Formats: sequence, structure tokens, C-alpha cells
Amino acid sequence: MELQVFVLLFCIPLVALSWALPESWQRYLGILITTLFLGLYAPESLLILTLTTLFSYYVLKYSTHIAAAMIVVCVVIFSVFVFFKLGLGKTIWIERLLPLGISYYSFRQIHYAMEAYKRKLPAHDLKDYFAYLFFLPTLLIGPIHRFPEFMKDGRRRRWDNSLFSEGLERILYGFVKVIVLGNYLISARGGALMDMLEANGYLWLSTYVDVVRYIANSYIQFAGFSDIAIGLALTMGYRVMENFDSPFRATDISDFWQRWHISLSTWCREYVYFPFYSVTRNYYIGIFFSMLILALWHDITWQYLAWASVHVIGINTWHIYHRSALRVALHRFIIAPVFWGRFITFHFVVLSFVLISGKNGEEIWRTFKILFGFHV
Amino acid sequence: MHTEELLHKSLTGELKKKVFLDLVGKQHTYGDFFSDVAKMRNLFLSKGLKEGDKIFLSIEGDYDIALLFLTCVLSGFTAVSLDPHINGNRAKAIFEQAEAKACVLEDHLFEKWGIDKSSLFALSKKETQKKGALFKKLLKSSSSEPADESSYPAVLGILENTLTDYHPPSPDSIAYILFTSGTTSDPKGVMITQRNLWAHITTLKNVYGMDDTTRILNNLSFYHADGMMEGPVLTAFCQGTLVRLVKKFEISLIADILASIYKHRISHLIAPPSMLALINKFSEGYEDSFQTPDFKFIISLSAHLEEHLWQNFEQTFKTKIVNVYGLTETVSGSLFSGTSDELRKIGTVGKPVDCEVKVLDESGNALPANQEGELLIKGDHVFKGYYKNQEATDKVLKDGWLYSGDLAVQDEQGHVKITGRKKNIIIVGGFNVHPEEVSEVINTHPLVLESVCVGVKDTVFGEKLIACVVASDPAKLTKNVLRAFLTEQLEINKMPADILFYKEFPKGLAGKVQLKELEKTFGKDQAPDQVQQDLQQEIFRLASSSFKVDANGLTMSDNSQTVNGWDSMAHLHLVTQLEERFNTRFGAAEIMVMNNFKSIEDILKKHLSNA
Repeated sequence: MELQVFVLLFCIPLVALSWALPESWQRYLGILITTLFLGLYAPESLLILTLTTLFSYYVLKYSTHIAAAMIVVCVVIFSVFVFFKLGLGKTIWIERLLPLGISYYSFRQIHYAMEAYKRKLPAHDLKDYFAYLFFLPTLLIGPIHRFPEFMKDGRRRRWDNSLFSEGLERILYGFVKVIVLGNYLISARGGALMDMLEANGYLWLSTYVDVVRYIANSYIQFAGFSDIAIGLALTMGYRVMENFDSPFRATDISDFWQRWHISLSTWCREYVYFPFYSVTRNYYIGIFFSMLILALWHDITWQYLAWASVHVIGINTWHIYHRSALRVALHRFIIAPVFWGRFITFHFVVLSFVLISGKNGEEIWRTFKILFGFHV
Repeated sequence: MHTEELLHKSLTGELKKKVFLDLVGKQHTYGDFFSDVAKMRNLFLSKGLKEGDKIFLSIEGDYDIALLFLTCVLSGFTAVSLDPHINGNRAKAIFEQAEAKACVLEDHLFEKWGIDKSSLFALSKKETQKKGALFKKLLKSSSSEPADESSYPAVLGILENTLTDYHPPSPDSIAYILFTSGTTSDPKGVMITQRNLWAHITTLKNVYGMDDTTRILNNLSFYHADGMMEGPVLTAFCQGTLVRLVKKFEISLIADILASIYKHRISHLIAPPSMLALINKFSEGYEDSFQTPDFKFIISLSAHLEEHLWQNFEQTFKTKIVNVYGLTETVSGSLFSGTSDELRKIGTVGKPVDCEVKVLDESGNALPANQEGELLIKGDHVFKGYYKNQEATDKVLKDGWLYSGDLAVQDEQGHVKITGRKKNIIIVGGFNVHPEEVSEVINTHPLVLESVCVGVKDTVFGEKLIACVVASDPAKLTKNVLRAFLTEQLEINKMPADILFYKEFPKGLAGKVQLKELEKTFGKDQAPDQVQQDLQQEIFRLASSSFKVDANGLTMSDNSQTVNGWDSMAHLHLVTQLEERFNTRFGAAEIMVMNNFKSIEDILKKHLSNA
């Protein structure tokens, strides 16, 4: 949160100057302010971002074999990302666990490389690419917005009262979500409720509240920060893609992944699922690798791998069921299928998140035992 | 048109600071522009020009041609404007025929066209030395450069912008003469009177619903009636703003053009079908461009708008196209399809507004509904005649009715559909090309024995010009040799898209070239639209089974975001089905971009053409 406030502080002059200075200065302004910000708070990230930006741009620009260039860029960027994700950064000179924003800018660079391979990049130069990766509102917390959209907004941005006001509203909503709903209501008050329930012997209910609280807090916090990022971008005239679309209204697990962390899930679909499918011609392998990358993006632990595996099984099972005669038969008898779809999806997601919320295997096992009535 | 009111409001009133023209990023206010109009008017008056005198204009630069044209139109002089890139012989013939009292030409054209400056008041356009704005102001007072009365735009620096003794021109005086077609020996200058012009501009303003908040994006040439009349003239009349984004339309600029709809708060985009076809094809990611609070509709004019393009474009961009039919002889438009439900019918040019139409058979009898005949138009906007060409005028203007030369049918509701053409004109991307004019130029090449030019259907430009040539020495006369020759002689819009060589032409007994026989040799009038529609229907059929949706509800503008059921698994199901159906295999990059029907169609077309 503290860092987000600093981002906001740097964004104030950025937004003001972005409307005051001529259009031709815009790209340089964004790059300069982000450079100052990263220089102050995360010089190691500034260095990595600058070097990888130059590397990916020039390799893709000057390579005569675009498929090879794309593979080289993806492998290098992904290796750097995994290197730091594994905590190996500490072995050199970086104190911080993870360079600021690396999860986002690495995936943006891979997106750029894949779009270059698809020959879908709009005409641009190095400063456009730098401006995209150095876009301060989304630098640290996403969404993983896309380069063609960034270029489009750069082309058409103009002062728009309603857009600016919408941006301010989104920032406000974001802070309300993070501070009031997330920090106060769900964390503090929710925690107190859980403690009270546990103290009164309602162990099952207390555990249920705890697991729901975990995912609700994850959603509210992340959606709140996304709101702030989207709002800041709007105040500069940029419409950044949404990251959440009422995920708990999802009626099945496939639907959930089209509503939860959309910028990452669509990234995985476009750049992992489709390539793996086109090579293997196997749906299930595509889904497996997508979820694997999605898990790795969060953390490289057995818990995330287990969480991803559960979702792979869930999604594939749903797809088989969705196209089966069983579904048609069942739907003849089920009353309110939408409600049951939401109910099952929500609880599947809540239970899967137990795998990543628990501190260790023992705690996870204990939670499951309580929830399924095996705890004595 | 209250021309007086416009001038006063611009020079001293509420319009003074308002932007009139936004030309490639440079803004010109009503105050600045009409101040220059007043200056040029004063100059011409001081040289003894009076109402009805012709001023010949042929200069580069949108601001300059708009300024001089409006100076003429508002002052009562007759503007004779000619594209400076026109063939030299033709330009010279037109210049001589015009008998202008004054001219403003690019400096090099005087020599190129052999124009004697002493015979009239001549202004030559010369580039001035550009100074920085700051130093320009500092140096202005100390400038010792002599004022040059024969050089434009330098002359603006020494003229007064006071509007003395202004009175609106007489309705019967000729506002302008536009030379549209015809051979060198038979040029046709369309004479439009002040009454014609303002009657039609009033119609346009009303039918398009324009007012002072209107912001028009029109990138057509100001030497084209649709560029000038539906550009600066209409804009000034509405007291709105005209935006021109690029000096010349290019595919690489489509993204900029689409982005500008929001950026410049455009309310009306004026574009020929060829531009719409290219926008439709190369606009991926910009499909939401017309979803802005200010945008009203697109105005398609200058050429036939294919029904398929019309529907596809409207579906893709979720906007409305108004199809306009008109001729240079009717200022710009006459019939309109789309501004209201009553006028709109896709595939037609709608109904006449502020004018009458009828359809006649060969014998001159009025035809009932749904029967094909020649379209006639009558109204205040119909031109006075061809300049110094009574014979040509008599052929097309009888009892106030203009014989359009276009074949049409009118349905019971009054909607008119253009079905063919009686006159020998080819419309290439909105530009009228007289095939005889191009043949005439080709025949001047020493190695050409004879030539014929014909129009062929084209998916982007509507029609394209094919030159059929018989060479005296086929070994020496290649396409490149002839192209290089023609580049020097013809405007870019009149250049043949292809040149075909023949040993001899098929001829009839009278020795006349049998065009129908000739056309068979290169497959005229192919209908690619049907093939395209069949492919789309097949894609929709397969998609409906993959996504479990109704095929009739799918449109080419749909994508993975807009179709329920288009998830990752269903996407790959569709890909597999397409591969089986068309017996092909898509690559990784292709599968990744097939997330909308348009991409799927493009990729499939590529595979099918390679098969």
C-alpha cells in the first residue's frame, strides 16, 4: 500500500504534465518520470527493465527469422523472470525478494514478442515500446495491458472531462476497496468474527469464514489496486483493460477464468494455450501448460502447482461434462441451474485457494479435514 | 446563404476565434481565414475584377486552394479550379478556353503550361522563407524585403482585410466551373451558379443535420466537388470545423484516421467507398472508433457503395453509413439513403431530397416502379450547363431535367437503385475517369498504334481502368515504358491499373472495336462478392456448431468477446472443424490470431488461394 501511495505521488505530476506538454513530448515524459521513480525505489528493476526492453526490441526488430527471434526473447525474458522468482536474485546483489514489477513487465515483453511473431504489432519505434513498458500507472500492479491498445490510446487521447472524472472515481473506489473493504472490513472485522466463532466452539463455521475471507480479501485487494491503476491511466487518457468482471458470478470454472485476473488469464490463453494446442493438437495439454504458467507467475512452490493441477482437472472435467449427454439429462431436472452453477464454482474456487492460503501441508490438510467433517 | 453574416461574424464577431480548418494538425480560425479572404477580395477588386469574372486556380496546399476558392465564391468571381497535377496539354486547353481575367498558379506551371503572365492578372505561388514565430515578429518591423504584388502568399502581407462595399453575389452568377471529364478537344466545364451552390449546401446542411457543433473529417481533394463543396464550403455554411488529417490517404494511416474520430470529436466522416473498403480491411483493433459521443454517421459518396461492404462496415464498426448519389452537375449530391428511416434502404441511393427524379426509357417515356431506365434529376441545384459547350449541354439538360447517364430503378416506396451506366465514365475510387481521355494520351506515344480503355470491377476501388494497347513495335513497348510515359502525362487517379497488349483488336464490320469481345479476354464483371459471402456463411455454419449459437445471429464483426460460447475449447473446436472442412492446416501464429471472424476469413482465403 505504501508503495502504491508513492506511485500515486509520482503520477500526480505525470498526469498534470501529460495534459500540459505538447503531444510530441508525451512518450519522453512517461519514460522520464518512471525512470525517476524506479531509480529511487527500485534501481535494480530499472536496470533489468531497461536492458530487457532494449534486448527484446532490437532482437525482434533486426532478426531475419521472426520465429527464432520470438523464441530467443521469450526464453531469455522467462529465464530472467524465473531466476528472480526462485529467489536467486539474492545470490547476486539484489536485496529485495523480487525486482519491482518484474512479473508484469516480463509478461508484457513476452506478449510483445508473440505479437511480433504474429505480425500484429502496429508501426512503432523504440520510444513507443519504452513508453509502454514504463507506463507508471500499471507498472507495479498490472493489469498486463497490451501494446496495440496502448498505441491506439496514445493516438486518440485527448482531454475528456467525463473520462478524467471516471478515472478519479476509479481511484477513489480502488482505495475504498483496499482500505475500507479489504483492510478494515474483511481483514480486521472478518478476523474478529472468525476468532469469536472459534472461541465459541464453532470450528467449522470459523474455518469456512476464514477460507472465504481469504479469497474475498485477495479479490478485493487486487481489484482495488487494479481500480487505482485503471483510474490513473484514465486520468491520462488511456483505457487499460479490466482485470476483474464479478468473478463470483461465474457459473462454471471456465467462466471464472474469464472473469478473474483477466489480463493474466487471457495472456495465458493467447500465449500458452494456443501455441501448445497448435503444436500438440491436444486441448488438455494446452490447459495444463496454461495453468502451470499461471501458477508459476504467482509463485514457484508445490502449493501453487497443486492449486494449478486442481484447476486443470476442474476445467477439463467441466469441458467434458459441458459437451456430454449427462449435462443435457441433468438440466432437465435441476431447478435454478444458474444458482447451482455459481454455488459450485464459488466453492470449488474457495477450496482450491486453501491450497495456497495454508502455511504448510499440515495446515492445509487440517483445514480440509475440518471443512469436510473429518476433524475430531 | 448569408455570406455577409458569415464574413462579419468571422472578421469581428463570435466566429473570430473559432477553428474553421484543422489541416494536418495546423489550425486556422474563422478570423484568420476570412481575413485572408477579405484581403484577396480587395486585391482582385483593385485589379479591376468584377462579379462574373473568372479566376483560374491551380495551386498546391489545402489552405491556399480553400482560401482562393471561397474568396471567389463569396465575392462573386467565378472560380475555375484545376488540379495542378493534370496533364499539361489538357490544362493548357482548359486555361485557354476559360478566358480568365486573373489566375493564381504554382510558379512552375506558368512555364510548364506556357501561360503568358502579361495577358491577365497573374499571381504565382512561391514558397516563402519560413522563420520561427518569435523571430518573425521581431524581424517584421525591420524587414526591408520589397512587397511583391505578384507573388502569393507574400501578397497577403501587404493587403488590408477591411470588407468594403460588400454585397452578396447575384444568384445567377456563376460561382465556379469544374472541369470533370472530356477529351482535350472537348473539355466539359460544369457551370454551377450561386443559386445552385447555396440551394444544395442548404440541403446538405439539413439532411445531414449539421450545425455549428459539426466537425467534418473529409480528406478528399479540394479539386473534387465532393472535397470542396462537402468540405470547406459546407463547413463554413454550418459554421463548424473541417478536419483534414493527412495530405494523402494511405493504408498505413488508417489507424490515425480512425483514432482521430475520438481525438478530434468528429461528427461526420466523408469518404468514398474505396476508402471505406480499405478501412474495413485494415482496421483490426479499431472497431470501436465510431463509438464516440460526438460521431453521427459516415457519408459515402463519389462512387457506388457495394451492399456487402455497406452491411459489413456497419456491423463491424456499429455505425451508420449514409449513401449519397450525385454528380458534379448537381453540385455534389441529390439522393440520400440513410439519414432517416424513411430515406434509408441498403443497396439503394435512397430518395431525392429537395429535388425531383424520374426514370425514363429509351424513348423518353416515364417508367413505372421497378423498371430500369435512365435517371433524371430536376432541382435548384442542377447546373446551368457546360461552359462554352452548348451541344454537350443540350444532350443532358432538357426542360430543366438533367439526364444523369446512369441507369436506375425506383421501387414503390421511391427508393432508387443505380443499376448501370449509360455514359462512358469509369469511377475509380470516387474519381471520374473518362476512358477516351486516357486513350487519347496513350495514343500520343510514338510506339502505340491504337488503344482502348475499359473499366473493370474492383473490390476496393469499385472499378479500375484497364488499358488495352496495340503496339507498332511490341518488343520495344513494354508495360514499364508505357507506364513511365503515362506518369508524366496523367494524374495519378487516371493511371490505368493494368496495361494489356494485343496484336490487334477484335473489330466489327465498320471497323469499330468490339468492346464486349475485348472484355472477354480479361474476365470483366467478375463477382467476387458472392464467393466471399459463401465463405462467410460456411464459417458461420461451423462456428454455430462449435459455439452452440444460432448462425443467423453471427456477423463478421463478431469476436471471442462478443459471442457467447467462444471460449478456448470451442475456439479450437472451430479451428479443427475449419481444417477438416477446407482440407488445410493452420500454423501456430494463425491459430493465435483467429480470434475474430474477419481474421478467420482472411486466413482461410489465403489458404484457399494457395491450394
